Amino acid sequence: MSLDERLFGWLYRALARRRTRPEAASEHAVFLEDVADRLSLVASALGGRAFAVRRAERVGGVQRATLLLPVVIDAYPSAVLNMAAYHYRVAFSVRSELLGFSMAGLQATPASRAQATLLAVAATRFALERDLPQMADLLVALRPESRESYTLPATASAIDTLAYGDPLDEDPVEGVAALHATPPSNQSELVAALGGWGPALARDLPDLAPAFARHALLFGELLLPIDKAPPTLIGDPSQDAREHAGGTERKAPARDEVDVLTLRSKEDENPVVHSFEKVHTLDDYSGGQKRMDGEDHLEEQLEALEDLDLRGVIRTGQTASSVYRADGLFDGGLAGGEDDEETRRGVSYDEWDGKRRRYLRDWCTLYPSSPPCGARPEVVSERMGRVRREYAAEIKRLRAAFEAIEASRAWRSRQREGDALDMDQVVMRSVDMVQGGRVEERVYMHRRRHARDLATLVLLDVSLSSDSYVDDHRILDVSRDSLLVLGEVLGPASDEFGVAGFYSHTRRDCRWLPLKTFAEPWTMGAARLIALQPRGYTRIGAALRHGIAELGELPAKRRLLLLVSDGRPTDYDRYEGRHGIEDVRQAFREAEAQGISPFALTIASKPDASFVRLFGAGRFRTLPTPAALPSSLAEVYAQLAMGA
Amino acid sequence: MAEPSDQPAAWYRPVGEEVVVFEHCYANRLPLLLKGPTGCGKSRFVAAMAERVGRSLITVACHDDMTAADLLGRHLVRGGDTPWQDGPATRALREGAILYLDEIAEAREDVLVVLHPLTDHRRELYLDRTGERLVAPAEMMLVVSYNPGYRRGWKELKPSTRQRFVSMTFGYPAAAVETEIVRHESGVDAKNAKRLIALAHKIRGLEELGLAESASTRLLVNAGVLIRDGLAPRLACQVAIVQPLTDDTTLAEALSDVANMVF
Repeated sequence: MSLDERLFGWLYRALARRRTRPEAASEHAVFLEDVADRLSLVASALGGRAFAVRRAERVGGVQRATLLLPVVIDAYPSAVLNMAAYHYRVAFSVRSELLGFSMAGLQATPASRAQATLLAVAATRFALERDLPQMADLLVALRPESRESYTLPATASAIDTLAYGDPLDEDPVEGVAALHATPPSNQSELVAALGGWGPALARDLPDLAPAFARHALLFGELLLPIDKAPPTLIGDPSQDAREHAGGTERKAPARDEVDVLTLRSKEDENPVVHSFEKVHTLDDYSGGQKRMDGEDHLEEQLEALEDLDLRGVIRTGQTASSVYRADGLFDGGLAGGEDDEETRRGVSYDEWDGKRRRYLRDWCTLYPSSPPCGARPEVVSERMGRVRREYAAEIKRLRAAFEAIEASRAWRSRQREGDALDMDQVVMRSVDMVQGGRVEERVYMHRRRHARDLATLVLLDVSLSSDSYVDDHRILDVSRDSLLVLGEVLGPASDEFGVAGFYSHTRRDCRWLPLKTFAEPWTMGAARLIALQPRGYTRIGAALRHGIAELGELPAKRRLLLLVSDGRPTDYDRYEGRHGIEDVRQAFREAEAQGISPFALTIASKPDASFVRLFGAGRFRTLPTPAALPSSLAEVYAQLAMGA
Repeated sequence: MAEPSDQPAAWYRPVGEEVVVFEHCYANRLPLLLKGPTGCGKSRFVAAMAERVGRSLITVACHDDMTAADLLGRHLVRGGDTPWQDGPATRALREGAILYLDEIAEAREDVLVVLHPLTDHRRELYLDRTGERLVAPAEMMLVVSYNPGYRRGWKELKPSTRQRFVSMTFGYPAAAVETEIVRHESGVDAKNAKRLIALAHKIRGLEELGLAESASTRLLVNAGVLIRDGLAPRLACQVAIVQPLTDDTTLAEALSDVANMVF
């Protein structure tokens, strides 16, 4: 990446950050980015199923499993109230989604949307307060004032009645009181109610849409369900092309309703249209030879898309031209040099379809490669020297820690000889001597070398995402350094340790790079690690399952599977979004079911709620900066090895 | 308000057929295995059943370092003398008590093997240190429990042990029953008990998000006790439910948010 490209990328990111964090906010403002994870957990608890939180483009609302919320709430004079508004909005949206309200079957005009939303508010609030009575008080506290500013008193009255449950003695608009008493309880009732009531509303309340807008903060608005939204190509093509030129990962602004991609029936004509990947997808495309997944999974892709953060999902004609500009950036082609004949024998693994709660049998084919070539000895010694210097303090500290662990758990009682007396046996021996029976000779405790009952396999994500930079560190470099540090720390105990890299090009071509087998000394692993180059995508599930199979063959009593990755399951045949997450989670469960302890180390600037969903609580650690990885990897290993 | 002291020591509210099953096992001298998440009432059930059949209860909390001597007994050195001291299993046989091994999966398999003759037709223990053979009286019963969800990767009950027991799974009771339990155990009022249950159901719904252990009835009872005693309900939920469940800051905040919505 050249300097100007980097500068551009930096500028773009700085601008993007400013967009997510408006400057004009008061000190009481609450920003979505600070509370998104928390809110998504709250939503999932309230809804009884997983909900994601995204930034709303406009007013926002809820679309199946995604809550679209305002970037910031600054409408109230205290942070507590602003946060409470987020809470109300989340609880309300979840309930609305559970009731199934949307704009399906309705005209998407502003007036019609306001009518439908208002009517749905009445029903949703009713159900919400039945479940959570506290929400009624919260709504009173959060209710916007200034009724005087409505142009028509009838509008104020209708909103008061339906949204806040304040029916007036007289009903200025026919039917409002009746609707308040028996609001529609599902989408078809909503559509029917509006069919009868809509014309009267449009006549009596022409200002409903602008008047309701001030209440939309608490209630959002009804949205089209994602599969009903009109297919559109996203974004201004020329802008897309410009943004891609930076060669950085970027997040497209969230779009409330138009996030649907035109999937062509003949995908092969433009393979990139088919892929859900970061900008790397484009970089990786090196002409017409990319293998396509021939099967059609449009439905599933739509779901994956819904969960996706829409990072450059859509490619337009203009961006395709940038694909060609990016030619040859990576060696991520399919037929790499190491693919000799024997590696073509693939192993089939299932994949978990979380949506349907069943396995896709033999879905992925994984090819265990032969060990890649290591770096040249002078490169290895240069690099190892640097690692030893850079992490000298860490290595020393961790070595001491590991020795303490060994000492604590390697005592073996009832030995014929040893370093310490086994008090239990000594007592027994005195009893035997008094009683005159057979005298126990094994009264010592012996300190073993590192206990041989533990086997650990480290899975290293070597996909192109490991080529990205966080805090000026390339992820792959740091992952590699941490393994080198671990090797230094473990020293002779390294025969309990295996390291493998993984990447993928669709489910038909998952790769497994044995970097250090259990029998090999660390030096072999080190040389291969140092020569490692990023490639391909991140199909974590298949790699985990192969790791489980490999560990399953070992005789060790306790087996650890350590995943080092960015925590983003990604492959360009819909291994994204919820599907990818659920597959990884399932693979973790499979490991546990087989008595293997899985654990993940992820590098992310801030904790992400999706990691809990991916790996399960207590099964991962997030590192805010890559610099923390070397010591964390060894620490996590120590903890797991202790069985803590 | 129900005063716990007015009740028999081990109040138990049946949630299914567990009492009948226990009685049949007891009458026919079959060992019983209880599976279920933490805090769902396994130990309380055993205590209540021991009381019901009028036998004393000997409980052993199993752990990694437990040895066969910890169960069977050992010789002590006292002056020039070496008196024998019974372990809990031996004592249960001599007294005809209910022997309850809690969290049995935590114990090592080679330790559990000494109990195998107790769990089949022989119903006996052999004390190799004293050469004594003890046959269990008809009143003596072995009950064990473990928590299948709480596996630390490698701890699981081996089939050779598991298949010696009649097994029952315990879950959290249905909302109405659990409300009754929480009310009775904590003395909290009906409204707050109902809210505690509502909160528990929301948190339990999050289970697949990765909470290793979910909001147990025990946690709800603790929160109920604090509320009854005058602690603000939100604070009670915070300290008795949210904090015991997780160390993760974001998760704790989110659970508090949910608690604040319910209370």
